[in-house]
Amino acid sequence: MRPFHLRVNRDFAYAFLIVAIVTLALGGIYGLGILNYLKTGFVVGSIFVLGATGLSLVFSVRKFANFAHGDMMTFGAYMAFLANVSWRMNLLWGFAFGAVMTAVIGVVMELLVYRKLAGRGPVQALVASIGVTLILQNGVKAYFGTQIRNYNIVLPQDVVLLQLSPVQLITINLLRDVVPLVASIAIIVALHLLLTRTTLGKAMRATADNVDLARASGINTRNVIIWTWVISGILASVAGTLLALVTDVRTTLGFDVLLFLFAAAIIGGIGSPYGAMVGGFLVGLAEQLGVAFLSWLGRKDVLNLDQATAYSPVIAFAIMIVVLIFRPEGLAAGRGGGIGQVRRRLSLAKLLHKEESE
Amino acid sequence: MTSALSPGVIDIMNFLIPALYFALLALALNLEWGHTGLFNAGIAGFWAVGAYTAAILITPLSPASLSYPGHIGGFNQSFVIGALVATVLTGLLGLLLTLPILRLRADYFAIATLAFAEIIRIVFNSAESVTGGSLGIFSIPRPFDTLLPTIAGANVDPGYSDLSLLVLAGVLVVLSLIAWDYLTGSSWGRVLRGIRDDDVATLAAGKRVASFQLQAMILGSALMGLSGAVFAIYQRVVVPDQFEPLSTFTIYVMVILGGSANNRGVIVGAFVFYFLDWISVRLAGLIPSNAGGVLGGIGSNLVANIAYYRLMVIGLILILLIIYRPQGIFREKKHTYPPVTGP
Repeated sequence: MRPFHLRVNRDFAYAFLIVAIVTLALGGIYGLGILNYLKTGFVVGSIFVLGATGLSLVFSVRKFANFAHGDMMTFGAYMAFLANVSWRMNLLWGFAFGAVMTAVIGVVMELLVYRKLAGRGPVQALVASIGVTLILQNGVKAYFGTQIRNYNIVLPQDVVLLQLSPVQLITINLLRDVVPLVASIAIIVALHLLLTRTTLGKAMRATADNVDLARASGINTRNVIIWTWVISGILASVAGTLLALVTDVRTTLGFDVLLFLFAAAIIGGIGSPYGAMVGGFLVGLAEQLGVAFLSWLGRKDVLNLDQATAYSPVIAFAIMIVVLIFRPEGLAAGRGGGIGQVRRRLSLAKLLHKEESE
Repeated sequence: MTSALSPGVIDIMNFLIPALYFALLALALNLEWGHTGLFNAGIAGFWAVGAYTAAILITPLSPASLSYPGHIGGFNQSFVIGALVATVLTGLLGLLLTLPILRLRADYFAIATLAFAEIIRIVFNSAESVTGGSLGIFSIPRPFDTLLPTIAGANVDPGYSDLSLLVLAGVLVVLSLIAWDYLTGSSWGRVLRGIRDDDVATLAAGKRVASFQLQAMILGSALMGLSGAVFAIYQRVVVPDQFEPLSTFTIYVMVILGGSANNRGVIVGAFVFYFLDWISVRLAGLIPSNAGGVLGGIGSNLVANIAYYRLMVIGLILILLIIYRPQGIFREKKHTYPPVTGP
């Protein structure tokens, strides 16, 4: 397994083909109005990309599903809130403060909790991360309260891109739409450079590939793991703050999107940060196109489904389960392998893992 | 309207009944996770399906109105029918969900089952004409209320109503424990533990691993459904918010605390954990929030945020247990078998 390699393969091509076909079909119903859904899909997707990449990074190096990642996002968003609203600083300082504090939380949890569970398999650390989730989420609730708030920023006017009719506009907002997209792409490029050009990045990839081999080659894997938590914490915090900027600051912010992040990470192949990037956009687009499709189903003359758009997470989760069933290593691992081959590889990996831990 | 039973007794019964339906959930999870090693993170989903199935079957029709979307039903069935259908349906759901995702690794299995539970919750919250939406289903009748003594000939005595449920839940827990002890003590249970400890070796020994895992999931899910039915008649109301992922994690704390793969242990775990939960609410209530000074300040803060502090303590207990005492209060029983002698 080479977790950091992404081949643009048939599966991804099919996935985007399906997205394109669905978009065209829905375009037949909504006309150009579908562009609004696409725009939201890309913005939300770019936030999922950041969240899922951090999740995937920890998974690839630390080998467990970190259920606390969503609440690390919430924590980061509230640290930014503390700096931005309570201390009246610029939101940029909020981003920085949140990133530092969340990275610290990640490292502290590694030292206090996860390091003690090393070598005990993926489930024990997963259960511990549920404990961390409860502490983080309820700590934030107890300190900040559960009311919904907003950052102290002046939103610029929406820019009208296209006027379809007197009531229907395609608009774009500099802060709510452009900033998340640009920030996400910039951070992903930086992460790519880090992983491929720096010694730390190469050490991280080696550790993700095979911890024992990395250690035997003289890599200080403990340091690598600490740095992984720092990077994952920064990514989580930025994702959380951006999400709070696009929607609002609330205590369930991170936990609500956790399953979307898992969906993105799994679709891209969990443990593969590059796959998570593609997966994030796919999940964001699928969710928003799902909203468009469901609100069409909710129309009186179609199905008259009540609360139709509330089902949109169901679509993303269902896609995730389908991907898990047919491509348990994610779409990135497909390459015509078929289920049988993936299965054999998985069980082989399991056997190897058992030998390692014993 | 006062009961013939003293308030203290009623108070204790209202601790015991939830502890008992949590004990049913803990037993169910113990079969799936403790014995077989299947990380089912969708307990809340199975529990919800059981509770809603029973509620829809036994509740008389509540017509839709401006303030309530209504729900399907008006079946007016007895609790026996409701609980039976809930148990069978949840078991069947366990089979259908597990069949495609069985071969996934433990953490993927957890994510898939968690997604399932969230789908169930979202659907129950949104399918208003079927489940009553976020208002849920209320006025669920309790099974023995028509047979019990009444107060002034009108309403049923709430104390006796609770007592009847306590007996019902107690009998169900005892019966389940007997069944579980028999199952896990048999050669069937031995195969389950074999799968948990080394699935490849169990497969090599000629056991059909997937079939055994499925059986454990069906039985476990069915018991979760039964627990849901008891929950529905005890609470008299089911709403989607009761089935958030948190309830799943709570059951894990109970099982790990009591000692996974020890059936009696997890029941004790459920009681100990729910007792801590129950007493913490009471203790916080004792701190005078109107007393001035430092104590009053701490008191009012504590009372306002008690729910969050409680959950933080739960998280801390979970972490400490998993690091320092993963075997729980009661260790798994050492199973020794006589050596097999050849002919």
